[in-house]
Amino acid sequence: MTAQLVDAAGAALGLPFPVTHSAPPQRHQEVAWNGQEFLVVWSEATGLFMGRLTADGNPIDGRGVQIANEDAAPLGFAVAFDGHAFIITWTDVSALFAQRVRSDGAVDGTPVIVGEQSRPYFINRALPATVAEAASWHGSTVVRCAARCFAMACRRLPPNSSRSPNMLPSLRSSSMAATTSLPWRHRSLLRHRVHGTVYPLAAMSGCFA
Amino acid sequence: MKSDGDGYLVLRVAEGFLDLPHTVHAMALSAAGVPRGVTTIALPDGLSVNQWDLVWSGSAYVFACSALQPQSTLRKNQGSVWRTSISRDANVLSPPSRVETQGMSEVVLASNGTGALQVWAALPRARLAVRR
Repeated sequence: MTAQLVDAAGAALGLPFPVTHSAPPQRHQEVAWNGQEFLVVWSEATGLFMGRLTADGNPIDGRGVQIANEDAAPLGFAVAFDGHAFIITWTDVSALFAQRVRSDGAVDGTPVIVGEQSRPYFINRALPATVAEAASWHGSTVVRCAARCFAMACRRLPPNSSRSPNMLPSLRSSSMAATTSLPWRHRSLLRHRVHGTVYPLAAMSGCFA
Repeated sequence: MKSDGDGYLVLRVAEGFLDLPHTVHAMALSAAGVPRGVTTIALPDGLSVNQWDLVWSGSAYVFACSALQPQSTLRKNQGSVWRTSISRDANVLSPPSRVETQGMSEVVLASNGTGALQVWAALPRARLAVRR
């Protein structure tokens, strides 16, 4: 896994560099920025790993830190910065997990189960909260329950806590054919599509309050 | 779709098994949703856009992708990695430049507000796991 910094115009800043010294192959990766450092999250055959990079691209965590121990790579994962901490979310065959990681790279508590499902969750993106809600995490998850049944679920993790998240209402409809989403600050542009008609998702009270 | 704080850039990457090469169609929108411009980004030598990502770097949109081989009936990974930049009115500021020649599959970007970090990796061979 290789990375390169680019300037605001997209031009390369320096040469490509390795993100991790891990020997096993890495697959899938996500990156977030907390104002000082990048956090790169990737999966390997044995689970989920993370590693910080300084603003100028120096890896801090060497081989990387394992944050989920699995006998298989996670099905999906995402990372976002909520204003205080990184939030990493991932799924296995039974549940959606969330884990806070402080800016110093320390894993904050143990993973919490955001949701359990008899079918796998498919993470769209972990969406960052607004500055006003920086202490809370706002995740948007597309859940596939069955071949023709889609749902969107949102869970809020209590600020600065690794306790079980608040269970906000889930949007679940067997007729929800497709969903799209944008970061929270653009919630007016959140849309979902039911039978070909697009509705503003923000109009659904409760879930995004 | 990504926002620059005062508008949006909407991307559509042609998806179709046989209608290669896949190109990128971009439309810039104002905050009110008024189109500012459109453009199409195509990789050279008939390469198709495979996995891709987009961020607002602070003064331009940065687009990165991996590439598929041309004229392939299979979606075979060619493995090169590309990057280009797009203005907020959908003008291509710099043509696609190749940052990796082969062997890669996945590409992600993250913005730090004044630039971006591009990360790419090969896609290892699939591994089946059996839970006990």
